[in-house]
Amino acid sequence: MSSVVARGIRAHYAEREVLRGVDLVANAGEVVALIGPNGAGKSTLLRVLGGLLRPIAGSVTIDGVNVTALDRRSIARHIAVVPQIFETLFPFTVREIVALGRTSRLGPLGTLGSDDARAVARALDDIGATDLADRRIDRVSGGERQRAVLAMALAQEAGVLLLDEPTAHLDPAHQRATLDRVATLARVRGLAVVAVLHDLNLAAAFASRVVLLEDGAVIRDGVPGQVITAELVAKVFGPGLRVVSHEGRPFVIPEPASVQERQARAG
Amino acid sequence: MRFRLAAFFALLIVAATACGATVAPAPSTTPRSSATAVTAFPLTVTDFQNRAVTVPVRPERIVSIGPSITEFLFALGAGPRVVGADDFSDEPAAARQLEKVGGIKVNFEKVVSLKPDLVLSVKFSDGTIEKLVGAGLLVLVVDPQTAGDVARTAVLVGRVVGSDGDAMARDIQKRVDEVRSKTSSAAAKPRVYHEIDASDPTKIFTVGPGSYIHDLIEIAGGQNVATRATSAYPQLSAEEILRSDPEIIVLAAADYSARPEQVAARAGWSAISAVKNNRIVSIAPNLINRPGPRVGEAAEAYARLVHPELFR
Amino acid sequence: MRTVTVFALLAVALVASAAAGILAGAVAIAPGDVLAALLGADSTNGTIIRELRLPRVLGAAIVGGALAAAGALLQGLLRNPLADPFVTGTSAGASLGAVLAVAAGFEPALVPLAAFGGAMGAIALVWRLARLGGRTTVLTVLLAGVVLTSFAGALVTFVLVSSDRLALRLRAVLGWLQGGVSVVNWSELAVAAAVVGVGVTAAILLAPRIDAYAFGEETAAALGVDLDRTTAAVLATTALLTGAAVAIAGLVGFVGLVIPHALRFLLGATHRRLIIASVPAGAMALVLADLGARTALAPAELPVGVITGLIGAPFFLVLLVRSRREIV
Repeated sequence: MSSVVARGIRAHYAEREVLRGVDLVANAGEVVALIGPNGAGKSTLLRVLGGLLRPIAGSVTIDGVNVTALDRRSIARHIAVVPQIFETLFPFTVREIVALGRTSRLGPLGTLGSDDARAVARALDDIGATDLADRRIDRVSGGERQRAVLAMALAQEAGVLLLDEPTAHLDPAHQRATLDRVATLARVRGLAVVAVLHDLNLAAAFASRVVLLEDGAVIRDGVPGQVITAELVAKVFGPGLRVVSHEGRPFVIPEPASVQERQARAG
Repeated sequence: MRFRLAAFFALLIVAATACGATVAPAPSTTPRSSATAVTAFPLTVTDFQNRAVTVPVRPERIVSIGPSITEFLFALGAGPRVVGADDFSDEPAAARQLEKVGGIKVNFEKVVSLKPDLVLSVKFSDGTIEKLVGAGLLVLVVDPQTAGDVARTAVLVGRVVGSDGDAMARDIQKRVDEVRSKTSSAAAKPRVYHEIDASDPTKIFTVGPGSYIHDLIEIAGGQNVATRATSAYPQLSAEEILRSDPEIIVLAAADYSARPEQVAARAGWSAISAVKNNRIVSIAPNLINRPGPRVGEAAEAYARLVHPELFR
Repeated sequence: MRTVTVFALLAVALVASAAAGILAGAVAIAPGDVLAALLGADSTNGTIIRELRLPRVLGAAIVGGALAAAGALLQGLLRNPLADPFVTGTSAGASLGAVLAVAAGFEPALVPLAAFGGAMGAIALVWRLARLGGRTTVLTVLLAGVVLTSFAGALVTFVLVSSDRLALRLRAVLGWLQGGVSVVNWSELAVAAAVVGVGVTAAILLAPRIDAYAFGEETAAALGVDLDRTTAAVLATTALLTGAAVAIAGLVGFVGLVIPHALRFLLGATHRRLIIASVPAGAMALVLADLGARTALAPAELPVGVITGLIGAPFFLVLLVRSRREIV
């Protein structure tokens, strides 16, 4: 049961200020979706939360412990990151990939113990990938690879799970399955989950809370219905996105450009 | 780069033998008789590459490409007419003052600028001779490889420069015969290993039949351990040297050569008779590496190493 | 089960190739006499076997094992199945270090140290160059290696031509650079064995952390790997192994490339298993290559780099064609 709290995060990337004072909280059992247009700073914020990018101001604490002061090994025991790039040139098996999640708990000789083997088996089981365990990572489908990488992060047994675009390159059924699994794990295991999502509808469907970023600052933070509104979507993402409500959940429907819009673009 | 190194190495060690020249057909050691001591020009001779070369008048501006050729020219009294020589020509001392025309690679522009009326050159396998001829120069290929070639060289060079090469050839033969008669009386022929180069311990080079030094070993009353080798400068493995158990190890006294104590310290070499009996000796490379007019001197120097008891 | 079989086969193959390496040589010695010589018989044959052949076979084994382990390390770190000490220019750096040491008139004993320094400098440079774009790609590593190799080659030639006197001293170095196992004595062998032993141990300890590089450095960091320290340790270990190999055998290409690559097919990608298997497999490969070098044109010897190049270069090209998708 962990919660992650970021306060006043400012970060530079390639000489540019990407985050200008961001506050973010993710509590145990919560799935927080980071949304916003390209370049808003979502991925950068995720890197700061994961301790992979040092902010120039602000702090990230997990259960009161300042993460920025910890070494990599300790951070990895608190925070797991599901990577976005899955391709690997080497023929690791799925089980070997999942076992990478135990890197931060390697013994002095670099060996894994029985605890580690149990954690790996449990992660595979949680993600429904036990039958994939001995297959080669470069020979499974995209969806299976996504599950393997998710299991790898779970095997880390960290309280905080960070995901960067976990549904990219997946078909709708796999998108749903992945996020549903993540939301269930958050509830059952008490994980604090922060996920960057481009798809506003997926965010609305699976996130308990949505944080809208624009130009390195939080525009709004709340339940999906409070954040994904017609007014805010138009302001942040631009025209042509209709927001409707269906069974109390907001839906974003892209619409073809109007005649005026096309003329304005042409002019 | 490797080729250039190999060439450099070859020229340095076997000074006159550039670029893998083949061994010349061994002529008789008896000098050809010549009717007159001073040649009448024009004259046509056959050189070491079986080319017929006509020398129209007595050459007054000679370029020598090959240290042994330079030695012959000076010994035959043609030194004052030599206007240029290769970088390696350092005998006699006067040769060091000559214009340099290059080493492994001949500097063609330099040769032409010296306006020679005769170029004497060792063999080249890279087209150097053809290029010199193409530049309109009169070129004679002279490439002594063995002790037997020395007399032939004396006669040939003597004729083209208008000196008495025959007398010189007879002198040389006399001195060689003296050494030979002395060493033939020795009770035994010690096994000799002559090291050309072993700066890479996996690539040990020695002398084989067809090389000048092999001839010197024979004249000196020794038995070359590589006498069954199929090339003039064969590569031997350390295993073969240990197996052949030389009684004398001869090194060149050059700065790139191994020193006796280094040879003795080589792994496994302590089992060799020459090492056990402390018979690792050095000899001046300039004296023995060039089949030149000092062959008698060289043979005697070598014989003193192989049979010191005969020279007390 | 499969792992056990592969290791058993490797052990048998290593022993068999070592036996072949000791039995065959420039001088024919009957197997019975070889055995007697190994048991200490005092004869010329004994000297040949104990002082010449055995150290040479052991030297080849050490070099092959070191290069294969270094190759496995580099491939894992760079996530690049085409990396090895030779193609990344690490070996060239080692040779440059050695040549400069000789040119500067260092003690011969310090030359291997200079080789290590050169290897370290080269590999650090390749690492920096390869990361210019923020992440390492197969192509940039290869290009950096090519650039480094030609630069080192040019510098070696420059040093060589700059002075005849130097050239004389450097001839020995250059002969050695062509790649030939030239063990001079047992104490040199012992030093190399110790250095390679340290390097292999370090490689085995580092292996699980190298696995974590499977999805790139950022993920490795997220998994708890201290990137700076681990990268530095892997590069230093690679340089140590390469420096020791170059000090004994000069530039020997492709062993570090081919061996880990082939073993990955048999044993999978996990680096600990891969490195442990690479050592005997690399040892075996170079013992056989050296045997070929000694016997193919006997009594003349080929540089062992010629044998490994003849076999390894086509293999490299096949890999390059097959992996072109990852390169672009």
